[in-house]
Amino acid sequence: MDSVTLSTKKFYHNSHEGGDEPPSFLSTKPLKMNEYFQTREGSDLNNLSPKLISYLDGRKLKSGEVVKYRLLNKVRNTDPGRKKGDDYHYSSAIVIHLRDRIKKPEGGVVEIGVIDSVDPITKIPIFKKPLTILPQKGSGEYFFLNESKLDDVEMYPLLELSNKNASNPFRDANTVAVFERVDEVKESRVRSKKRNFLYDSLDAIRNWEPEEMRIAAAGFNLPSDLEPDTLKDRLEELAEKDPETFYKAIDSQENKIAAIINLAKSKNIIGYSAFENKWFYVGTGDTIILLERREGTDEMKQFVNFLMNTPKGADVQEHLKKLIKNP
Amino acid sequence: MSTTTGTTKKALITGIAYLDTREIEKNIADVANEAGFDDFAQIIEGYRPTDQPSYHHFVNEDLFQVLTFDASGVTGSGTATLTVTITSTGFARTNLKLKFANGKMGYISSAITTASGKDSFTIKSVDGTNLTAVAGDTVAPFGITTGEGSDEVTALSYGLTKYYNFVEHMKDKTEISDIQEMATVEAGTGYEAFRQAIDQAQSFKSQISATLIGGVKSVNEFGTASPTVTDINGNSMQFTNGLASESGAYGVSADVASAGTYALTDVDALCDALTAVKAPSNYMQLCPDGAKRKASTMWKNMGSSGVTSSRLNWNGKEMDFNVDQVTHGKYTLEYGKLDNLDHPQLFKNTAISKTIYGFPKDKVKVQVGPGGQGGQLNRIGVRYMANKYASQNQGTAYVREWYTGANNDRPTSGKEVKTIHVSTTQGFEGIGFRHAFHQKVLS
Repeated sequence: MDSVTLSTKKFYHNSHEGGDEPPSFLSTKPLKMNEYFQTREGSDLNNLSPKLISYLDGRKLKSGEVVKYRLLNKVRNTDPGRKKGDDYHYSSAIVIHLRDRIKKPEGGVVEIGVIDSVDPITKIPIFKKPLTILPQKGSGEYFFLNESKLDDVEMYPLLELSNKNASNPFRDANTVAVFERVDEVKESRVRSKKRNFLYDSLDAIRNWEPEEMRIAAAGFNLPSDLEPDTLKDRLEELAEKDPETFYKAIDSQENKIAAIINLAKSKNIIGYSAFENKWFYVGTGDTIILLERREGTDEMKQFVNFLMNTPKGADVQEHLKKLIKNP
Repeated sequence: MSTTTGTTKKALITGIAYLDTREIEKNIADVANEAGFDDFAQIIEGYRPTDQPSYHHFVNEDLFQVLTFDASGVTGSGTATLTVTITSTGFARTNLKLKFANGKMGYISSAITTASGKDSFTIKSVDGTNLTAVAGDTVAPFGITTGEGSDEVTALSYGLTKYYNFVEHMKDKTEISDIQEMATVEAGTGYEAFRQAIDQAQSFKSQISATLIGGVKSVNEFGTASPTVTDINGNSMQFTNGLASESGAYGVSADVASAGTYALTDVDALCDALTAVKAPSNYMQLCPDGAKRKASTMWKNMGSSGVTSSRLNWNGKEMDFNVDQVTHGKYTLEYGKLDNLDHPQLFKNTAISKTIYGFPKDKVKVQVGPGGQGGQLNRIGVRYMANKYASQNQGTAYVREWYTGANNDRPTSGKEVKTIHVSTTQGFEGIGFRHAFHQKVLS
């Protein structure tokens, strides 16, 4: 069989080393630096819009600044027998390309990339080698950029504008986020706030009389007949789980009324008939409130609303309190 | 219509439509055209039974860990002694030699203190020259050096990581009535029941394949005390992690830089990442057709001059634009095709249909055990709980098939139907998947 060699001679094409910027044919225009990236005169590559420039201006690296990023593409280790610290599994290596196509807040898209050099033959810009992150045990979820390093300074604006950066407000939400910037101060504040809520909640529980504890427990649907020490433990456990919600519930009027209802129900003073859709006094059978049959509301919410927001509700509340004390 | 001589005779016949026969091709064309990942697993002898519904394996961890200086974790840079905090704990030891990126060598000259999961210590230059470092820098541990008459060094324990996956119990059924079963049809085997059964079998096969590729592991398993994922009867369910999820969770993530464009730089980035995880060099890639075409186009579209040249041999009559295998650096990448990835109903618009999944062609070696036994394990495969009823003419070892209803060899009810049930209990298995990769190519 005759064999013919077909030449695929080309000077440039999409798949060549570097990028896919369709170059003006054998452009000889030199690279120049714009606000944050290198680009070629007249090229749309790295041609940031004013809003993107303004965004980066607000995040300029300070001298010696270290930027910390957290990897997000991790999966929870659901193994019940996992070791301490093995809460997540990470990809063994994650490639983050130093180029992207991003949306401009003003409309349209722009191709961005950290240019390393220009191919001497094709004149196509060659982008810097991608960042390959190798998550390690223990410190696996972070990587850093340092203002004192040239490479890091060059890739910083790209990472800040990358669609893979969950902290980027302009990112394309359809792209899977791979990392986020860690704001140590903000995260410290959140942790501190959470801790304060917990301390205040535990303080409140410690100072409660058994009766107050019983009422609070009823507000959280805990059995009110538990031993005080057990009750205290259960309440503390709840506070630890979600300190802020617990703390706010302490002073919540709604929660206090729910506690009265639960206590009255547990002492068999009142009952709820799902068949007749009403709350009633168990002793006499008298109806307290006939509930509306509305989708999405439960009997508890409607009863709390009745006791809180109707003139008759206040009287019923007082009556229930008396019955709870002297059944 | 059958022909008769003249038309007058035929006009005398009533019910002519019942007299004439019809020309119907007896074979039913199969345009559903389902393919099977399970077949692929069978071909590579990847099916292995499991005695338990969850199966586990251990891998040894990296024997070395680079030490990364934490944010605000370096003082004394530019002097011969650094005081540092690193981002991890458990790997720094006194007298450990540390190689810096600029070639300098230091050693840990103090005791290690640990707080909040981070080790702090002092590093001294071994040659007295200044050491420079900033937060985020890494140093490589070269081993421990001691002085004369030295004490014991701090011991280091080497960890294992356990990976596990679940089998998934999948079921389906179809039903055919007595009348439909008795009546003959003109296509296929002549019986509607058989046709139904064939379609059901093909559908079930594709369901299994889709699960083995795209399944996502559940939070609970059959033995979970208070399951959150339950069936309608409140029973705990478990789901298997498929090829895509296993690769996504544990393998190399190396999507192309610009979705829709497969460039040599993307291949280089992949190879670099594989090297970084000490991967073997011979890879099978399972490609959606679109991704394979992108790859073939790239490899055959290289400039004919320069170091990235390639030539296309053409006999003048037919051209094969497929590139099935490439050797690049130390890596041999085979571009295989897996039709399941292109399934228009099961994977349409998912990343799976746009992604190349790669895994080493070799088996993964295992450590030599106490008896001096080494060996190797399949990288990918399927674990199944063997069908105990296969010998009673109820399917194969992998898939059980049984019948209920009155129209059965042994009637199970008075209802005159034949109900065909199928079930299987199997799950994907990937071992040593840190060497697997996934590369989203298409947009």
